[in-house]
Amino acid sequence: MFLSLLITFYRNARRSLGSTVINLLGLSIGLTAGILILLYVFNEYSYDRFHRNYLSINRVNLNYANKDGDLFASEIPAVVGPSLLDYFAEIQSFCRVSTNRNAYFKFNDKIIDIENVVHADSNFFQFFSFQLLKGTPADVLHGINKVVLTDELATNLFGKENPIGKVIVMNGNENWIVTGIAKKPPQNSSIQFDALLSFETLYADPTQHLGWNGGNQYQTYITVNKSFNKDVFDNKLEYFLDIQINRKLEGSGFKVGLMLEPIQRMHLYSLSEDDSKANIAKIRIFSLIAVFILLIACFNFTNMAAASAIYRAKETGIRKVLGATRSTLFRQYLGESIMLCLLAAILALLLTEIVLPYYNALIEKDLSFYHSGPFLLPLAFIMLVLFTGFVSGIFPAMFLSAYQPIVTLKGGFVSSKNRHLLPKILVIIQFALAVGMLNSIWIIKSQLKYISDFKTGFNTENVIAITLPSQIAREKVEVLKQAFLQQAGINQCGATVELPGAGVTMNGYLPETYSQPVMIHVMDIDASFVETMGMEVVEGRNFDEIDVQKPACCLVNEAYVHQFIESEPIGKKIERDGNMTIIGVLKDFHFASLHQTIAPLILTNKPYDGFNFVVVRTAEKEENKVIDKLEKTWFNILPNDPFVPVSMSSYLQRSYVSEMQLASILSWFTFLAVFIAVIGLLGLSSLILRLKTKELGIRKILGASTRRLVFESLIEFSILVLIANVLAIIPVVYFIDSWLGGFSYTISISPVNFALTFFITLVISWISVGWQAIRAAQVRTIEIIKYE
Amino acid sequence: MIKAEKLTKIFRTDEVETTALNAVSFEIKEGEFVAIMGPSGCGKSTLLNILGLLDNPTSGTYTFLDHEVSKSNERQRANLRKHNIGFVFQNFNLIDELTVFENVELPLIYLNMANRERRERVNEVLEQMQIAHRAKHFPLQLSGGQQQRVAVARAVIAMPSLILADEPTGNLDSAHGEEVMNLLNELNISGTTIIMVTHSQRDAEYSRRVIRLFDGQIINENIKKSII
Repeated sequence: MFLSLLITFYRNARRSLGSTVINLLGLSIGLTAGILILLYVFNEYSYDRFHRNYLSINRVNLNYANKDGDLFASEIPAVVGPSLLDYFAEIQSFCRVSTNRNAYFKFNDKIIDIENVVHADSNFFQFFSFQLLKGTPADVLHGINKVVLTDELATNLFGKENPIGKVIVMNGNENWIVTGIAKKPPQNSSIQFDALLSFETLYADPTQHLGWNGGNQYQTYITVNKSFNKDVFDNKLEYFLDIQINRKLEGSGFKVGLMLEPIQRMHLYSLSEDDSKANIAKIRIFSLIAVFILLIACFNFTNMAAASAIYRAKETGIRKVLGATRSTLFRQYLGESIMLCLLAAILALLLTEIVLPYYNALIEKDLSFYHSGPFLLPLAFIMLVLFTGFVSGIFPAMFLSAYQPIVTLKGGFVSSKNRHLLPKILVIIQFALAVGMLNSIWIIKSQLKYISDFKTGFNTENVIAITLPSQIAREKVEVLKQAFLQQAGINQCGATVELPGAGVTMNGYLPETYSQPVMIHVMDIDASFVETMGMEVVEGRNFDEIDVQKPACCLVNEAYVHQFIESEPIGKKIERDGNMTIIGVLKDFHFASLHQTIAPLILTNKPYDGFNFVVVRTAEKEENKVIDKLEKTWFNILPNDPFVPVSMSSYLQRSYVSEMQLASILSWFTFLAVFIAVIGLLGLSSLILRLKTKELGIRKILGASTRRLVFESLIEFSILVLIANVLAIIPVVYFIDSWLGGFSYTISISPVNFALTFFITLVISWISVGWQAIRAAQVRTIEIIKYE
Repeated sequence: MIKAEKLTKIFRTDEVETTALNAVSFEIKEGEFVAIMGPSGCGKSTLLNILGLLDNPTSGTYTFLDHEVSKSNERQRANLRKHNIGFVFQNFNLIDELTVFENVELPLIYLNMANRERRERVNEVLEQMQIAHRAKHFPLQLSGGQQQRVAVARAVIAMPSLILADEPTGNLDSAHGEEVMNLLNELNISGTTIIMVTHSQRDAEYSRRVIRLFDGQIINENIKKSII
């Protein structure tokens, strides 16, 4: 039986080669999109599950509750871990990992700038399942000034030399002994590092805040034992926090809470990190796209099968006469669509292999179908193939198996005006999905353009920011600035602790007349920063060079004035470690990304530990030319520090990486969706027009011109495209509205987008239908008579 | 074998009601060769469809091999059909995508016969029908007469007790038509009941009984004394 079905499938496929190719192409592209998105989704869900005991690892998050609501933070004081272990018997162990920071390492003459340097507790390699290639897990981070490097970094720094026991210099003045080599963390790890520094070193540094009163920069993980009960734990936690901190905060308006977060939920469901919201949103959007593309491909199959059903009606009749039941035939036709899907699946695997490197580059991951585990992904893929086969085959199988042999065997065919209704409905759905994606990408791209053109309130053109990586560099900031200013092409030069555009630190301040401290953003800058960045002083004055020696003073932005001061801001006080006097008001500028509205900001001129960046404004279009000069000057003054310049414009773009990635992926998948829909339309129109040959011939005999017949065919398909465009409007507006909700500054959705998409899809459909309509309308009437 | 009592078939559309068969009653015994004749539209094919369990009557009873089948569902009808009835059509109704061998094999597949047994049986019948040399050809590569031989081979492959032939020579020239009629005659001699719808008086001569229909009713029934 199976062989017979296989033979029939093969011969039918060969007979209708055009339809088969279109179906195979559509389904294999659809399945490729499905695989790519499955790979992405599986990878996202695999985050942090590679740790052996991941089910018992939790991150401790802090939440600050005040009258405005809860503020969650994953970076918490260092004291929390040890205190929890002391107090709670159900907590087995803890491990802390500090906030990632940049540093540069030097060995002999080799200097390497590193992005991810973190402090980690000595049990790091026993607590987590990161691979230690050299060294003993219990010892490598035990003691002070011990460092574990990743294999990649060790090779870069030491070449073939054995790094163990070697001393490297960090940021020009700190010596660290290399005690271990670790494998680079897998891409699906939330904890990333290039170098791990022993946590005990921090306790040897008296300037570090490691108690309850500050230093919120340590992610703290705990493991719990079997006796752990969440309700009991939460009850005890209340009292624990009360004695540790909350009693001291009484009257401040703040209350501290702790919340455990399973490690495997951090990447997608974290309350404390905005990234996880974006990650889960991306998964939803991509999954939706995969479903759309697969549906479009499935409907191609359904459409072609429905339109060409006439060719199989006789076969169905004969099989029924010979004893096949409706369910036998239903299974046969469904089996055929699943067989086609299996063929498409093989093609899709090949296609995936070809496009995966480009896809990986696009999404900045390292995904592979064959290394994705032996079970889950292949199983999901098989389910996907069967599902696709089922969805595409169910309708054709239903109506093909329902044919009555007494009708079909007489050469008859149930002909009614509704015969093409299903294909038409499916074409409308296909086009509505493709149009929806087209409209969405259109608006998303407009929004991203709007953001990149948005006036941030400062001028990023021709501004270069250079990191001051070491204490020595920070101490020489004035010398550097002066030396830079000597160079031709350098117009201005300033210094700052943080760069505006991606968000800045918050601290508790007490504005004048306030009795409770308020969390307010703060930037430490020098006197020339405002001018270098092209910011505008709207009231009072900017810092000058001698303010640094005077009693504390500060600038604020307009948002600060609106929120905390009724009138005359100049001279008003702000309290924190003494009083600061407001000497000027800056016009509002976007110190955070455009996802957020402009919040109150204080600008001070006395950084705690020196400035971290020098910003340089070059003459018009001189940015690239002056880099060499800056580098030369840099190494004259700081021969042992790496020179790491970054253009301010590209720095600002980093806040929108996620959106830009979304836009690129959406563009590609939209292209695929439109492509599959168009080849589907091509195939369908070809079939429908073939079936209408008789009608067209008779119309011609009755006097219709070729032009008129083509026009009528085009109008028929144009109506479908129009309905699809109209149907897509509401879902697109809903989706885009919620996506734009993530931005504080947005474009408005314009009807022009929709009109343009309609026009584009109309033209595409005319092109794909038109030439076939011309061919069909040119039919010679004599052939029609013969054919009949 | 067959007992029809007041078989009525009415086709209804939104506006028109057509009575194709009007209270037709007759009986056919095992081993008979019956020709049904009448002008176009008299209800011959409708009657054949009901007798072949391809359609149900609107009213009346139809007993086939002691089963009352006028209200049977599709599955029951299909089951009875595949075990007991073979069909031969005017336009052959072979599946163009299957070879001669595969076309003939099809009823046995639906009977779930084992592969080896199936092949032997098909080869045997193809030899018998003198079409074995064309086993690997597709229907469209054969002449009309050859196609109808294949159709007859397919009709007899499952050794049905009844063969229904709907204008079996309608698309054939006289030589090929005679060939096919001889085949049917041989089958009848070997015990198979045959009911044949035909316009051709010449073909009807092969039968032992002729039922004449007009406007959905039996107007005449002739039983012949001898077999040609």
